[in-house]
Amino acid sequence: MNNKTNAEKQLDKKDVPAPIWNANISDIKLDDFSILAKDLLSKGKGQIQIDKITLNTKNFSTLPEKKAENNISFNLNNEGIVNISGQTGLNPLTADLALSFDQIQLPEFQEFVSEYANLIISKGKFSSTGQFTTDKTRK
Amino acid sequence: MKFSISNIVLNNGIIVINDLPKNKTHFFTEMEIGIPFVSNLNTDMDVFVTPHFSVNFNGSPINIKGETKPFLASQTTMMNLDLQDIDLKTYFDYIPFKTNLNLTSGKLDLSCALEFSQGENKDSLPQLFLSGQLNIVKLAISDLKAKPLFKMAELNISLKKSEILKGKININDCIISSPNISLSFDDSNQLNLYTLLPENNSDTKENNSKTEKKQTLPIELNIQKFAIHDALATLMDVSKKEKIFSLKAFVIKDTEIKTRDRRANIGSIFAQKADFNIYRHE
Repeated sequence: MNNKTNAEKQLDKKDVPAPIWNANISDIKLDDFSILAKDLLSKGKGQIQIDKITLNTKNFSTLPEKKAENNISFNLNNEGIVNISGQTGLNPLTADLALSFDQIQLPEFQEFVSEYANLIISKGKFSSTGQFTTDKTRK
Repeated sequence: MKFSISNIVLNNGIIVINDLPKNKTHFFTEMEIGIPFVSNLNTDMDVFVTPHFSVNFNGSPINIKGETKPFLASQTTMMNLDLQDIDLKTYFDYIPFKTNLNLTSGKLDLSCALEFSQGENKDSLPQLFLSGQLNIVKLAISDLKAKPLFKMAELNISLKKSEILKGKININDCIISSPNISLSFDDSNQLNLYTLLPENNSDTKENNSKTEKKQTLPIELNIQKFAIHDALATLMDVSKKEKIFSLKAFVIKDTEIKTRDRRANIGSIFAQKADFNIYRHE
């Protein structure tokens, strides 16, 4: 009698690549995360601050056709607010996300503009909403 | 040969071990050994033999108590092992491989119960169950130049009844409190983590590949709760100390990992108050 599982039978065969691991996570919650990226070589402010990061993800899975519900929000350089929500899938890679950027301060990015153009951003805010969709199965 | 023996007792034994190569002396004191009754007479074979052993090992109490029926086919055996206040620093020299680390402090408490039974007939598989608690406090590790690398206030692992020979491991809790890792660059701008690994030689590699081939037992690991509280990582530059990561709480609940099916299911992951600092240096 052969009680071996399919995974074991596959492992018995030589030169057959081992099946990949699958992971499922019902609920992911990250609360009050922050990232500070600091350029110590910069003469100016040279930093990006992302704080109050919250992430809620439900039904994350690497199994085929499974999609997770996501909600991410964070503050960018204190005043800017970013919200991203929608579905993502890993296998195949898909995303259908609603994006919202509000009150993003443009002078904060001066350091990164200066490398490419002789411009000084003295004032300005950026707000936008949109949809990001990608689906590897579509042609 | 049939026999019946009662009241085997050893009181207040002492063993002193002088380890001259390591320049250490180990003391086993207050040693007590007792076997109240052991018999293979047909009428007594179903009576538990209850041996016990206790000793003070370098100041740390060790207790082993057992119940066994050694002359029955099942060989049913239960054993409780209690170690308290074991100073890990004393025994770090005895680990069987070379490291570039020094264990500067750490105390271990271990309390576990082992259950063994052989099947009634020859074809039955033996069963071995393990459960218990492991607690390590005030663990501190430094590199060979005595620079602090890692410290941790407490590690607590609570193991539910696990069927070891079948690879079924059930962990109630695995909780790490206040882990603190210190990263630093040396004079040649190399991160200290890279210098901690001992240099590999071909023999070690060969041994490793042999070991990998032998590891065929499928593991079924269930962890009810894995948690890290108050983690901190710091990066010591030549000039100053920078915090690169801190975390208030990280909890994973209801994890089930099955290597046979190559599947991991996690109930929930929760993390609170984490700060990452990224620096661009020269």
